[in-house]
Amino acid sequence: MVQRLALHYVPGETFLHRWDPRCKLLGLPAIAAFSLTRDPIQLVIVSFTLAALAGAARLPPGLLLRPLRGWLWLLALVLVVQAYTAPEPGASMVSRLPVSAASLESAAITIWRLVLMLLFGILFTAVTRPAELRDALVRLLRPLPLVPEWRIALMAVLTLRLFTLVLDLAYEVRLANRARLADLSRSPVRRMRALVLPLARRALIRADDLALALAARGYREDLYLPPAPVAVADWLPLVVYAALMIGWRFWDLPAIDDLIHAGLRWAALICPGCF
Amino acid sequence: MPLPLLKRIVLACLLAALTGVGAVIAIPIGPVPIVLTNLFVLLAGLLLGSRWAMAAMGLYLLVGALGFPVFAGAGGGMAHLIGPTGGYLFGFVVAGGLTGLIAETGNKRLTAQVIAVLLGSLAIYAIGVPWLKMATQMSWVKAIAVGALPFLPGDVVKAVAALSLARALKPILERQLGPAAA
Repeated sequence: MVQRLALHYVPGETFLHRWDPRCKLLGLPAIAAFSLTRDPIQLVIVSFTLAALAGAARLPPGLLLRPLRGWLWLLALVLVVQAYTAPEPGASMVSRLPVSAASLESAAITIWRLVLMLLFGILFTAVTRPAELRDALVRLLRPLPLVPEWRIALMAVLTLRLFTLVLDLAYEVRLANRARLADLSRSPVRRMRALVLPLARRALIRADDLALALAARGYREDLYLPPAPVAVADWLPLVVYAALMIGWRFWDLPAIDDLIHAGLRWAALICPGCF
Repeated sequence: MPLPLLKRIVLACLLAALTGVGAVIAIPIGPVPIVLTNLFVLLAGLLLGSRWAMAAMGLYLLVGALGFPVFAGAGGGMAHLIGPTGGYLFGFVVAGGLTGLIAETGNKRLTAQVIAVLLGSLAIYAIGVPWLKMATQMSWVKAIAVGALPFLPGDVVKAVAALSLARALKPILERQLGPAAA
């Protein structure tokens, strides 16, 4: 379990690691929203941005792709369901499969978008230390009225503590059930009850002990967290990204094509042999 | 801080942790193993009431967003929240709150608790399926066929188990929090 937890954050000294977690937290939904486009040119640009960020973060090779294995079944399911549409009369078919070329292309774009969204999320977790993110959440929640930010931080820490404790308890209960042959019952409700009831009962007793221990140590919520204003340099990537998004939202798509073609023409002028 | 409030806080954390463990451990029933996440979402509503159940589920999402492996298949990170199945995760918060609200107003009556778990289970799909449809741009029929229908039989089993467990665990909670609070 410890190995599994450690896999999520990869220590480093890159710009992405040092970037204020509050800005990362605000930037992630913005990037995810941009990945919702179905235009292949924009998806290529987003893909290159992701590759550049992953390269800048100097993450171990394969780290971004390894967690995707858990999503493969869902992606495969979406691909099959999206591609397998009733063939329209006259639509060009792919080989002998009952799949039209248009529906296959649409399914491929959908998968591309989903993978991009997942990869941005994985990258975010890989370059953000959980404790930094917790403090960032406390600081982001602080201006909101009626939100006890320290209580939320305590609860997050307690949940992680209880999570590992309950995992251990679940392992013990499963071993006990196996010894009593309780896991061979044919009724699913009875099997669930045989696992969950002793687990929840023991966990409730441990939680009560934990609450008493916190009370005995005089837990209080008026602790001081030093203010840490976001540096201008940390805001800059967000501002540039927001300007790009707004610009592309209101420009016509051909303008983006023209921009890319102009860029390619300039590149051909600079490096005639390359194009 | 008063002890009853501290106990409520720890209980909400416990239900969030149990929901996370429920996503990791699976019970093999037939060819498909079923995870117990939804069971603990409903249990949180039945045991803690609407306000604290929503707090517990919000906490579950927060811990998952921090990158800890509490989401289905021992996954964690923002990818799960913004991905195609993120709607189901946000649905847990609504489901916990709705189950708790109906169970509270029903004053421990079995009929109210049955309605609470049924509507609570449906609330997860009410947010999860449109989210899946939007993320994958499937039609409604396909989104329901992929994102709801295969899981409904398992959810009925989990709803029955949640009811049975809530009735068994309520006396322990009443001893810990006092009969009026539980």
